[in-house]
Amino acid sequence: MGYRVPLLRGLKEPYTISHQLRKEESLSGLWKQVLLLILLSALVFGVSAFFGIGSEQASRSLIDLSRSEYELYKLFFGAGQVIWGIVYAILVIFVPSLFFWTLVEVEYKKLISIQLMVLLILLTEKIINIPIFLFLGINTNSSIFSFGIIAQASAFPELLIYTLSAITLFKIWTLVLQYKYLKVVSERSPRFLILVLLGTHLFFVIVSALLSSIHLEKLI
Amino acid sequence: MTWKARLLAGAVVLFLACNITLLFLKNEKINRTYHVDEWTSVKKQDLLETMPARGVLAPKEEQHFYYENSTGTFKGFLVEKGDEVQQGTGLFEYSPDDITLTKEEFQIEKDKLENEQENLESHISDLESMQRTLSSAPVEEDQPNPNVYMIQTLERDIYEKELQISRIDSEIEKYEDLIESADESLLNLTVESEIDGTVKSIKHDLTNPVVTVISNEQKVTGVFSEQEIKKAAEGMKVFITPEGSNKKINGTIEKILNHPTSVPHAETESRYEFSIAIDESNELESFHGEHVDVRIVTNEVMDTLTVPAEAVKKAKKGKYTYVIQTNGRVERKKIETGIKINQTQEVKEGVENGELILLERPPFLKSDFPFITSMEPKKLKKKDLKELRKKDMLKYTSRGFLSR
Repeated sequence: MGYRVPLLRGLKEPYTISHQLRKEESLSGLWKQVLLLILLSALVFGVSAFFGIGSEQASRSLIDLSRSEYELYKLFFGAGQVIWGIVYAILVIFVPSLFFWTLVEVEYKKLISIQLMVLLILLTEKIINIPIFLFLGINTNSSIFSFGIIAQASAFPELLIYTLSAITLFKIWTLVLQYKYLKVVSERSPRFLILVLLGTHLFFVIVSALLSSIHLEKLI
Repeated sequence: MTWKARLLAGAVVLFLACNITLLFLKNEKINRTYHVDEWTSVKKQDLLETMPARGVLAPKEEQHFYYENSTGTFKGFLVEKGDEVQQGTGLFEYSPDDITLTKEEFQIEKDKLENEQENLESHISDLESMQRTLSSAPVEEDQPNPNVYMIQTLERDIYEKELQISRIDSEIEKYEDLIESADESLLNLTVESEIDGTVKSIKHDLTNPVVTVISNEQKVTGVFSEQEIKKAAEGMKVFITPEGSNKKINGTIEKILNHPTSVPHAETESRYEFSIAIDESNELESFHGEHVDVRIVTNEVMDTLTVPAEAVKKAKKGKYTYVIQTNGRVERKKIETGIKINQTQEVKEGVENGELILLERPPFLKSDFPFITSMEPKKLKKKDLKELRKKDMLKYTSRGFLSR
């Protein structure tokens, strides 16, 4: 029998859980947790899509389409969001962990466990943002947890706005969490870890900002 | 909490406070997306301002028939109270006996005169032959004809008789006329109804009017209060709904009496009668005296643009509504409003027919921001799902997939 990583406790008590994680030889129930979180992610994206979040593109067709066709559009749009939710979860769980695995000498499964906690944080952010979006009309670029508002208020260039709005308190939390865990489970020096983490985060932030700025969904 | 945790919590709160402050202060610069709950389209329709009233169905016409002694003796009624009558149905008749009798008298009188005339004529011819005999008699020369005087006398007699004949002629003519009129009276012995309707009353004691017929066609009558009469006018369109039904019948105010129903009194409110003509095309199968609800169209705006009253938002500088544009954005539009009836507001200027407008006021009033709407699975139709092309399904799904 292996050790089942308590993900929620892992968020609250990174110190205890990270030391526990280091000691364990094998982990159990990991795939179940992965599957559960992927489903949770699909659900969160589905709920978000149900309220139409992100469907500004679809709203353009409101005038051209009949009411039923318009709802159908949003339905398929929502289906696309759910699929993205699944893909997003898979990307967050496996890609960074694969990247860390190449750089630090840690078992891949342990890295996945850490990324599961990261995904949990990211999904929490998305859930919290749904009511704020609906009541205050604040979209992704203007999330109150991000630097996007400051960037917009200072009239920064568009790309910088996208980049800064991708940096949120929750993203910083994930970075801190990853650092805390990696510091314990790996033998690497803190400076190296910070460098690696900042690098990966910056990479993803820039990629997402670029994707946002070219508005991929409009190309289709 | 450790001092580290406190510092962290403080920093987070500060950061959020800073963001929220900026959100309100730099409202114009912050991108927003409105979540739209409800929208509707600008409609073109007729706006009717109506005033309710109560009325009662009454016969459109009431026709009275009088018994006249001069026409003849009364014979009897042909109908009973409550009978249905058509135009031309006999109601009552006069007895023909009197008239036949008079007619016979006239005939005798006429015959007598004709005899007299004949006698006179034969007398004339006698006189003429006498005259001829006298004038042909032999006359001695240088002697005055003794017959000349006789002839002259005869001539005067003949003239007198001829005068008498012509007098008798005119007498005969008079009697012929009288006989003719008696014949006519014989034909007009029956009094007929001039309208389709029902016999309302019959007076067996022959007090006039002996028969009253009410028409099947109906009108609506009612009374206005002093306030109501000021708003109403003759010729106004009216919708009539019999109580307990949902039929809507058109009518027009035909007459408003401008004197009150009772003697005006300072302490009581005066009431004024009115009547409504029902449009001919409408068949009302209701009883006389049945109550109806009446809506009088006091103001009518034809073919005007309307929006629900809740879509109109008041601001300091005027009235606004929020319009969904083709580019998927919401625009604030200034509008000029007209009359408001119930929850429908006429818009004179600012919007176009068919434009989509929001029913709510988006938070942080601003124009030209994108919007989103929640899914409403109830509005989906299976038919459209079947008709949707695979290509579009893929397109919509991938847009959803790629959207952030």
